[in-house]
Amino acid sequence: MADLNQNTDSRRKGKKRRIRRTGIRIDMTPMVDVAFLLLTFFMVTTAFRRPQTIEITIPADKESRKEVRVQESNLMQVLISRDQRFFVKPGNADIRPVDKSSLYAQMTGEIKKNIETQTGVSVKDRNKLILVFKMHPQSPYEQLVFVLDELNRSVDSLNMYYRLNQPAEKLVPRFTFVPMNSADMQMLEKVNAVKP
Amino acid sequence: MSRYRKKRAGIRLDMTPMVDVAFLLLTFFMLTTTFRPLDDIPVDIPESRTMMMVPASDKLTISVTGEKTLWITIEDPRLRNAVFSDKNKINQTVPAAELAQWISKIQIENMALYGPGRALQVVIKADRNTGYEFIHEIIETLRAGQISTVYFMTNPL
Repeated sequence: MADLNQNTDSRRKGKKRRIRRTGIRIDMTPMVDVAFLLLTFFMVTTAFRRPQTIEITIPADKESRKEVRVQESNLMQVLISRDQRFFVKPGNADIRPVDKSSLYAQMTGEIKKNIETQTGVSVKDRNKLILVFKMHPQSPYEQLVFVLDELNRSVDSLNMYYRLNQPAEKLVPRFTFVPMNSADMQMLEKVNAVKP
Repeated sequence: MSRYRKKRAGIRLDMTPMVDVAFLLLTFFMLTTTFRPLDDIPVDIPESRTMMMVPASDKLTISVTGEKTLWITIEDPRLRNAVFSDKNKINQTVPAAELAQWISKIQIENMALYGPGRALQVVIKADRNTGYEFIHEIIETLRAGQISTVYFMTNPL
C-alpha cells in the first residue's frame, strides 16, 4: 500500500487490496457525564449579580468635630416623608414637593446654579452646595441608597458637563444626613395639607 | 406455533449537538464564574448604579435582615478565630444593643493582629425596607467607634 510508484497503470491493474476501515467509535459517555457534572457545578455556584458598594464618609464624633458655619443659600434640603414622598427646599426658598424621578434633575440644577453664582478659581472650589438629606425615621433604607445614588449621578454628569477629567479637579458629592426633627415634620404636614 | 420475535434495534440518538451545547455552556460558566461566598446571609439589598467594588480585604460585614436581625461576618480567619466563639462559622448574630461592644472588640483584636495600619472596611448589607432609624443607629455606633468610612452594599440595577 505504501507504494509511491507513480505509474498509474500498474496501480490500476494491480490487485486492489482495500482495507475496509471501520469507523473508530470511542465511547464518549464518561466524558459527557463529567462535562455535565462540571456544568451543573458551575451553574449552581456562580454568582451573576456581583454586589457593589456606595462609599460614604462619616464625620468624626461631636467632641472632635469643628463647627462649620454654612450660609443658608449654600444648602439644599431634601426631605423624604413617611409615605416616601420627596420634597426639596433649596436655600431659603419655599419647600416644594418633587417627583422621585425628577430629584436627579433638581439636584443637578441646584448644584450647577450654585457653581455659577460663586467666585473661585476652579469649579471644585466654587461647588459650595451641601445637600442635607432629612429622612423620616420609618422611611426605608432603600431611599437612602436611592438619594446617594442620584447625587453621585448628578455629580458625575456635572463632571462631564464641566469637562473635569483629572481626579484632583473632579467635583465630590457634598452631603449630610440629618435626622428629621419635629419642625421638619410640621413643615411637611403643612405642605401635605396644601397638596390634595 | 411460531412466535414472532421482532429483533428490536437499539435506538441510537445522535447526541453530538447536545454535547456541543453542554460544552459551550460549560466553557462559558468556567470563564465567567465568580463563586458565591459561602455562608452568605440572604438579604434583599437595594439597587444602585454605582460601579465601586466591595472591598477585597479587611472586610467586616454587618448584615441587617428583613427581621432586623444583625449579623457580623468576618472573612479573615485569624481575626475570626480571635473574636468568634464558634470557630467554624464566619457569621455571628449579634443583638443590636451589643453592636458597639462587638465593634470595639473586633477593632482591638484587629489592632493586636495586624497593627494600626490596617483599618477595618465596614460594609453594611441591609434589607431594603429597614427603617432609616435603624441604619442611623448603626452608623452612629460606628462613628462612636472611630470608623470613618462605610460602604453600603447594593446590587447592580
